[in-house]
Amino acid sequence: MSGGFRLRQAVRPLGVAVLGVSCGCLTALAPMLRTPPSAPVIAFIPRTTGTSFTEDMHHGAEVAARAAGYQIYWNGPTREDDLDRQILIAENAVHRGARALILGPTNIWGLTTVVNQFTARRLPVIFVQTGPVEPTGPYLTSVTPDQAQFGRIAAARVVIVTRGNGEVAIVGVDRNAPETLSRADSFIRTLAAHPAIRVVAESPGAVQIMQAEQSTRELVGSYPRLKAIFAVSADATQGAMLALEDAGAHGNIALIGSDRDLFLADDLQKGKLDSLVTADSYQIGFLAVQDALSAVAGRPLPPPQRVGVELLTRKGSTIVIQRNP
Amino acid sequence: MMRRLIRDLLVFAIAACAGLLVTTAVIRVLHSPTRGLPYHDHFADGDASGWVAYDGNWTVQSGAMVNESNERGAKLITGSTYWTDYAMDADLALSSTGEAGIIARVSDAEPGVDSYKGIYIGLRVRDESLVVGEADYGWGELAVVALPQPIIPNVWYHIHLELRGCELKVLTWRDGNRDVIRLSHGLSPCFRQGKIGLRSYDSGGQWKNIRVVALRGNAGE
Repeated sequence: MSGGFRLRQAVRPLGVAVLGVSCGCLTALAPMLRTPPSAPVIAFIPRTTGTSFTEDMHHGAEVAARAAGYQIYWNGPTREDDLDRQILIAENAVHRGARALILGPTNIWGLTTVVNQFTARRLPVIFVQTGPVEPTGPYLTSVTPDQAQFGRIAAARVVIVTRGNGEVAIVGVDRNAPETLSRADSFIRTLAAHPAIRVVAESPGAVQIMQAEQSTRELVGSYPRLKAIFAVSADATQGAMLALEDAGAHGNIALIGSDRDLFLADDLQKGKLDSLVTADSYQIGFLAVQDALSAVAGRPLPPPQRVGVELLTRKGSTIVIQRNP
Repeated sequence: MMRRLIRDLLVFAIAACAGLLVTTAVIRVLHSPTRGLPYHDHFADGDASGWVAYDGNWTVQSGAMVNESNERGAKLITGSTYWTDYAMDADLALSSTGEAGIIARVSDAEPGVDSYKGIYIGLRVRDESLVVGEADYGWGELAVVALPQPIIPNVWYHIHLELRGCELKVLTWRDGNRDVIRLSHGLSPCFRQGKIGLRSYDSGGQWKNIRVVALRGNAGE
């Protein structure tokens, strides 16, 4: 017998054994390697999550998605102004195969490039909370509250609480959050019909509670005859409320807040606010997902939709909702 | 020729069985619900390498893990994905007016406010309460118990948690105070297994004396 034959005879059982061990290992590992089929995904990335406004929006989105056999991937930055994190989350979601993207933009200007990239790849993108800078089209639309109605309703409330005269101010105006500009603008235009009411200041602080708090403190100090404040975002409302509480002025200055977010509904119930102008965020989430589903099915996205706004006031400890105040 | 074939088949079968058995045994050990338990971290040595941060600004300072960021939903996670029924203890102190606590049976964690699957137990300044909730890339509040006294920032509170099947028990008290708040809650359905972690929301905080022990006997069985 040659040396080569003997070697082959010795190696062959070893090869068979290695093959056997490999098969055994793979059989044991097979259940772990199998991935169950999962439903297609729509990514929903609001400005932040974990607030009552966004949780209602999440609920609406889940209901619409589940009915169509879709899953919602829900995530957002831990701060409402964290643009980089929002872009990262959105890009990761799209990379993992999301069929459509719903965005509550942290900064509409900063998102322009990435949104253009997505729509160029024919990925449907739906803006919520505020509209996009870019013109809408077959792959870009929005579902937002009627921002002008926010201002009109707040102005109507101011007319009631000031009895048609006195000084009022706006808190929370931020050009990175265009809805705050629209709300403030509509508020001022509506109050123009009431010349005895004077809007004495517009202060910043839309997504920074501390900034709004500081702005409100300065307003209270500078305008001792101030009768009402319209806070144009949830964070501005929170900041203004803290400042008024701190100054012991929340009984004298009526605070009309925006958005049923954070714990503002509880604060309204406790009498820390005069009233709250808010949109139905459940409806926003539901409609945004319906738009996404329509686009995923190959239809062009519908034009921007506006969701109606309502006024919440307090009667005793009960919250009263007025749809057309 | 035939003998060689039979020998090969025999070798293959024995090797396959051995491979199957060894791999299964290794998987069993790695996936054991008690692997790594009991666990404790007193942060005394300044080493936090076993922890993974998802947001927040976490550092070990004087024997405590400190999160100096007050962003919403910062998490720090450790442990095994396969831990099932366990008791967890932690001392924690809030640094401002938000909330802070511990998380259990955590899986699929990512940066983001409620971006994990698991159970949260925490102290909330807003309504001076002990809060229990479930996160599944969204927030579901399960139970709220009002505390008898306001939460004091930078004062240590102890949280003891037991998870057996879908039964949850929580005890909490302020350091040096005998008033123990108790909470029992049935979770249905519930996350069955997962890691542990520390979490804060709209507040920084400090945590120390983290302990986890396996619980014997499953309430669901």
